[in-house]
Amino acid sequence: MAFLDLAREAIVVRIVYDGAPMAGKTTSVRALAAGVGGRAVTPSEVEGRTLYFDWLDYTGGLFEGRRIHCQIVSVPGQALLASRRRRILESADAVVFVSDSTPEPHAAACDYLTSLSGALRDVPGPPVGVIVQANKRDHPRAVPVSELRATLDRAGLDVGVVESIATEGTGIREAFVFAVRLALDRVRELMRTDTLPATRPAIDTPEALLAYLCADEDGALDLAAASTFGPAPETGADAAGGVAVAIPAIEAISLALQREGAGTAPWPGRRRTRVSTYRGAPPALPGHDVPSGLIWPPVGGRLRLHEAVASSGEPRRDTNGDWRATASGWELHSPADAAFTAVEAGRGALLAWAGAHASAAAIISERRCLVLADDGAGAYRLWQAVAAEPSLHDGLGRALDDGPAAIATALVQLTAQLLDAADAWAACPVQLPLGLRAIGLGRDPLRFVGRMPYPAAASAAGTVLTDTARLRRLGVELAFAMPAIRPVQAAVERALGDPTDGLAGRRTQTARRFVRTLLAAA
Amino acid sequence: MANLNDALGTILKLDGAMCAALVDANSGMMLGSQGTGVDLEVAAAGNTEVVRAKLKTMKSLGLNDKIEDILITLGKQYHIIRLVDSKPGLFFYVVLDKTKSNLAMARRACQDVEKDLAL
Repeated sequence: MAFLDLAREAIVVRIVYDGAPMAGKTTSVRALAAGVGGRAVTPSEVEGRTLYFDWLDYTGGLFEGRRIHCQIVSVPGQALLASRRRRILESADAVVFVSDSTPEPHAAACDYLTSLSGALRDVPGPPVGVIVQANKRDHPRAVPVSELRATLDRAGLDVGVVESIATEGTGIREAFVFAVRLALDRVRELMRTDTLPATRPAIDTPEALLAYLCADEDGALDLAAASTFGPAPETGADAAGGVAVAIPAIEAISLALQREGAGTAPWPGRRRTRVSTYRGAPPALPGHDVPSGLIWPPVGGRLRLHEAVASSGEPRRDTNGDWRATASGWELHSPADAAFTAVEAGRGALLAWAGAHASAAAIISERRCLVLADDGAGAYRLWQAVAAEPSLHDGLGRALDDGPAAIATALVQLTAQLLDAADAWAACPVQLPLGLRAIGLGRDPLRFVGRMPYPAAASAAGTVLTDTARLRRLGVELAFAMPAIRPVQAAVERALGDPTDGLAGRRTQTARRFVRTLLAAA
Repeated sequence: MANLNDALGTILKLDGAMCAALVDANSGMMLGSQGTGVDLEVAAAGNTEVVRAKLKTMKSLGLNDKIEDILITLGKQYHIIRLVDSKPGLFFYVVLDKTKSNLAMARRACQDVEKDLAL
């Protein structure tokens, strides 16, 4: 995750402390903090076990004329938190693997080291270096370094080893500096290949990392950890599960840092549209700082929202009271009745709408999100953002300029696809509005690319249209093209061919028959 | 063989020694330090540039040689930069009070400590 932070004129690297449970990761980070005059933050721990991570910021040294800003993060070591561990490891520029030198944990450490190698292999870009910090060297039965080295050699791991006693701070700084050296090797390679991002890191504070980890979890991990290790100190889980644990943890970090005078780093790119008064004034569009839990999907949604609001204009009100804003390639839409005075009610609606999306996940386009945002007037509004995709309507529009044969082909193809979609989507739990603008062009299988109906307005699915109803619908959809088709209608009909000639499949024959019927009636 | 703390402790026993650090030249960060007198964090990073500049100049001159140490004489202090031959990329940085120290002896002591370092 290395970055070149131009604002701070610093190279930002992340050093991750990994290791088996109770190996001394947290003790090492805290000892390092004491050594560099920093302060380690631990969002949540139970009985001395880290549930999320430990975080330490340190800026020092010099690389290519720039300071080196290190984000030092340790992982939770418990097996049931493995997915959390992996997500942190995926962001590492170098890893300090803290190994318990006592005989029994030593074997487990080797397994963890092997899984670490596997996780790091999946990290894109230059390799992530590892340094082994052989901890607890003061134990009378500590495994000799030569034996540790032999174990590493047998596992095919070519890594350096630093001895440490984390409780005394011995060896901590050496291991850290060697890890920084490995991270800089990676940065050097990124610079050589011109792939080092020059931007402010998206995750630059412990709150941001905590929000990132929580956003993609449904609280199950926190509940499992709480039931395994005992109740979490902050609060019991409520219906929101992990959110109830995470939010107090974020607040605890913020309070702690404010007491220290460090403050909290704003989410980069914070943006709000101007809203002076609500009455008659457009609602504020969602900004980048929408709290976790108010965006769906939790991780991908925030990235899509960032794209959607980046260049969107002020929202406009439709005649039916809905609000709409468009950006390059995106549409944001909020139904007229998707406004809430309390965030809890809005979140309930968000979850219901997200459920509808999830039930239609196999059918709808991927680039979309839902967000509940402050409307700038003390209330909350639910928004849907959908990335614009070419549709069958666009395909027909282009074909209208290409002559009768192309028009005939396009008419038959889109009619066949419309019929296919009507059949395929009839089983969807949510009735999707069918139309040429709602079906993606060139998508196989067919995808719904329009706006999802709001739960309050959605009707239950299962309605199967008769042929007559489908013809009528097709007529409405093609109405826009008739002025261009009429002058060449005879040629188009000739190009359609005979629906009964058996040259095409059944669906295509049906589509040709529909189109002929429509053109004849036009 | 001496570990890092022992090595720095030996250096600080020199007459006039004020502070010392072992520095990683790749990052400019200290692996360890003892003593006071200058901001060693800043000095470590800055003297890394000194070492790099000298190496670059040697390369430009076509000198096929290595740096053993760099001695800098200030008005009130001596600064010694001693590269660790067994660990490329590391160097000792030592600050001495000029009125109390003997530069030749300090240089020799740094050489002995550097050769005896176990990391």
